[in-house]
Formats: sequence, C-alpha cells, structure tokens
Amino acid sequence: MKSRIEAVLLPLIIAALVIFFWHMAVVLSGTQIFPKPVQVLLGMVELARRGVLFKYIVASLFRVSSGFLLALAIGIPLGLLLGWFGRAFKAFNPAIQVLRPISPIAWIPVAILWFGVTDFAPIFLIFLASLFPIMTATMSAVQNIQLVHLRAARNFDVKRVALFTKIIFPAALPQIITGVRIALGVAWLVVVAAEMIAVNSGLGYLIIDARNAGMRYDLVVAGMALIGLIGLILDFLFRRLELIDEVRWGFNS
Amino acid sequence: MSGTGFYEPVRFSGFPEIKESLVSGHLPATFMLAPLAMKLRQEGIPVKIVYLGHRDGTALMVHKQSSIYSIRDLKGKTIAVPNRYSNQYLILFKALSNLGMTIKDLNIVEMPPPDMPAALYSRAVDAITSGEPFMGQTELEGYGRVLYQAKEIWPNFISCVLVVREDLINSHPEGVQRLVDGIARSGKWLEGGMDHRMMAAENVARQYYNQRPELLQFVLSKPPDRVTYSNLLLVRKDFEEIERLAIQAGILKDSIKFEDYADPRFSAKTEGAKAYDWGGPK
Amino acid sequence: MSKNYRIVGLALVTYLGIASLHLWLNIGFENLGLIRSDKTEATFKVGFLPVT
Repeated sequence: MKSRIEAVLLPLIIAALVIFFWHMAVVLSGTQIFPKPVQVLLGMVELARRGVLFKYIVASLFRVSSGFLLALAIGIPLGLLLGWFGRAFKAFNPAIQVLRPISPIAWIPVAILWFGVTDFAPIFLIFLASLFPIMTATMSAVQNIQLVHLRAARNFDVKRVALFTKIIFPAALPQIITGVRIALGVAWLVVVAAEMIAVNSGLGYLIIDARNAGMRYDLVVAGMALIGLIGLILDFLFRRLELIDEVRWGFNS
Repeated sequence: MSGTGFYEPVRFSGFPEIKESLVSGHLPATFMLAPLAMKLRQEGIPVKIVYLGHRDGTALMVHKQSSIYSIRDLKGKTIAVPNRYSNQYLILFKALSNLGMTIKDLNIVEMPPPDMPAALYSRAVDAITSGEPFMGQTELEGYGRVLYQAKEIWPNFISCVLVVREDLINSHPEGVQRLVDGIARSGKWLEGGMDHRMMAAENVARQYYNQRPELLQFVLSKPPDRVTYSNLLLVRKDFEEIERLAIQAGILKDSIKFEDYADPRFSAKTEGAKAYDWGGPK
Repeated sequence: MSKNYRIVGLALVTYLGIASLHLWLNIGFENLGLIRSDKTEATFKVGFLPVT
C-alpha cells in the first residue's frame, strides 16, 4: 500500500516543484514570449471551449496509431525473418542502417510528393519513424535467442512455421517489446514534425499554427504539455502490457 | 473571398510545402510568390499564373533600437526574406543596385514569414521583409520600425499571384473563372470603403488566418493603402520587369515567355466585375 | 496463447474506435462519399499562406 501511495505522491511533488520553478523563472526573467503555467492551463481551457481540444487529440492519436500499427505489422515479421536468415540479414541490414538515421523531417518533401495534403503523409512519416526501432529490436532479439531453446526445438523436431510461432517469436518477445515501446515513444515524438505538413488538425498542427498566429505561445506550450501528458499515458498503458504472463517467458530461462 | 462551396481553402505554413503540393499535383491551385511560380514553369511544371493576390503590402522592418536608418546601413547585416524566389528578395536587389551596392554586401537568410516577427524581436536577425500582417505586427507590438515600404522602391509591387495547374484549367475552366471573379469582386468590395475592410478583418482573421482581428485591421488601415486589392489584372509589363530582375539576380536562368507562364484570359474577363454586395455574415 | 489474441483484438478495436472518431470529427463522413450530401459541385483545393 505504501509503495502505491509513494508511486503517485512522489511524482506529484516533483511536478508541483517544476511548475513552481517554471512560474518563478518566467516572472523573474521578464520574458514577453514564454507563458506562465497558469496561462498554459487557460490556453487548454480555451481550446476545449473552442471545441478543438478533443478533435485535435483524436486526430493525432489516429495518425500515430495508424503509422505505428502499420510499422508493427510490417516491422515485426520482417525483423523476425531478417534476424533468422543470416544471408538475408547480411544482404539487407546495411540498407536499413543507411535509412535509419534519416530524420523524419528530411522525409517531409517526399511525403508531400507521394501523399499530398491528406492524412496519409503524416501517417507515412510516423510509420517510417517507428519502423526502424521495431525492426532493429526484433532482428537483434532473434539473433540473441539462446541456443538452449533452439536445441530443444530441434530435439523435438519442430517444423518451420511452428518454430517461428511457438519458439522464436515468444523467446524474442521481451526484447521486441522493448523496441516497440521505444518506437511508440518515437512515433508520438514525431507527430509534431509530421503534422507540419498541411493537415489542418492535430496537436502538432496546433503548435505550428499557434506559433504562426502572432504571440500565442501559451497555446504552443499547452500543445507541448498535452503531447507530454498523452505520451505519459501511452507509455503507462504499454508498461501494463509488459506485465502480462506470456511476455515474461523469455526472462525465465 | 470566403468559400462558396466550389473550392476549399487550405492554409499552409511555408512556401516549400505549397510548392511541393502544387508540383505533385495534389494541390491544383494556390497563391504563391510570383518569381517562384515563374521558376516552376521554367522547370517544366505545367502551371499558369492567372491573377494577382494584391498589390503592395510588403515592407522591410528593422528593430526599433537598431541603428539602421537607410538601406546603406544594411551593409553587413542579416536580413530574412521569405524565399530567394520572391519579389521581397528582388526588391532588395533593385534597391541595392540603385545605390551601387550588391547583394553580397548583405547576409540573406530564408525564413517562413510567420517566424519573422519573433526573429526580429529576439534580434536573431537585423531586418525582416515579407508581406503583411507580419510586418505590421512588429509595428503594432512596439519593437519594429519601417525601413521602407515596397511601393517606395517598386511602385505597384506584386508579391503573391494565383497559380493554377493546367489540368485544372482544362478540366474546370468555369471553376477557375469563378475563383478569379470572386477575387476581383472581393477586391473591389474591399476598396469600396474602410468599413468594408474592417468587416473583412473581423471575419477573416480568426477563421482563415488564425490572427487577431486588431492586427488585420491595423494592416488594412494604417496607412489605408498599405495593401491594395484593386488593379489585380495581369499585365505583361509587370512580369517582364520581375523576369528582368530575376535574371539579373541570378535566380532565373534564361528568359521565359509571358505566354508560357501566364494565362490572362481569366483576368481579362474580370474587367466589368462589380463589387460584392456583402453586408456581413448571415 | 489466447491472451495474445485478446491483446491484439483489444488493440484493433481501440484503433477502429479512434479511426471512426477521427473520421467523424475531423473529416466528416460526407466527404468520403459514405453518406449523401448536398454538395453537387466539384470542390478543388486552393492553397494559401496567410500573408500578403
């Protein structure tokens, strides 16, 4: 019980301290641009009253989940295959490592050329940003599977497909989950860059547009705070997923 | 100029994104910097300039506390322009060559117009130049000072033009004509009185520009001819002047023909256009 | 094993929920041709930067 209270109380105290120091910093520096915490809160209220708060959150969530789920659907199977088949890995890994460091922002012109002013452009960017962490973690997880499991599988004469679904995938799962969690964080991080393209909704769009609209930096920081809060919630939900039985199988060897 | 259902306005944050959307075909029509439109045509993109957006409405602002009081004082300073393919850049070129200076005497950076006021406020740059309301914003907020209005150096200054892809012209010529007529009639309405301009600022500000109405009202009234919306016909002479300066400044390779990059048919049909009879939102 | 399917199912249902919400709030079903609308004219997009 005590640790549960601590888990909630301690972060809250830190948050309160941060807000206090933020407020003092703005007041003492006399800045005309950076907003005070209360202004940010009022900004969020204004967005809610204008009816755009929920709409924008849904829009960003939609694009992030679309890009992210697509990256999962493509990245995990590909990662499993490339991690298992040594020759395929040797052939494709260099290309992957070349593409991986290219920031999603650099892909924006390509995204516009291919997808225009639709939702597909930011979804594509988020897909790209999530794909590489997922694939890399999956490939590495497969390569790290302990020989014990593979020898046991060979002893029982497990066939190809079953080998993948019953042995390889579950053994790789813990490391895959870690990569997926990182990818989710990256996906949510990229939403601002992705929504710089002419979509007219979303939290990233809110920030870009508030920045363009004169001195509305209270909305800019409100958007940042919302992105942060939702990112926290997503990460929390994901960690609960990690606690489920099947996933822990890999650790017990 | 509000949508009457046959076209959908799409707001962008920067000219590069507009350029890419137009080039890829996803955006069939857009307002865009005139030299950029001409450059695209030269690159083989099938677009045509069909109308103007406005005239004048561009200034160069410096920080109130700076020691820059003339164009000569810009020597060695950093100036933000929207894009190298812009008349804001070309007008600098024109002003400098009148004084025997060259563009190399300045440090030019490209910056999206919405970012310019903050850059001037924080003195990240020494001067900014683009269209309104970003120039007026620095004045209204008390840290900007006008160095020149575009019309002082280049009378009847053109900044943005309406560019339409040829496939749209071929498939929906009536739609294009309606759009051009709409701009013409709104322009005449705006010129019909200061009360019209104030009404427009009030209604356009929040919905389309995401700006404060007071800012648009300031820009549309002080002085009253800071931006003008009449006289939006395509005139060959204006564009040949742009072309001449662009070649001199090195942003256009060879000369291009007015017939190639412009389609004045739509503009010609607006001659007798009457102002809208708009009394406010219903 | 069934827990895996449950997770996947839950994820899919959540996603479909978000997608429908998004379509409803931000795009409008009539724009996808899913329901009939009064718009008879062809709509084309006109881009602009909010600057003169």
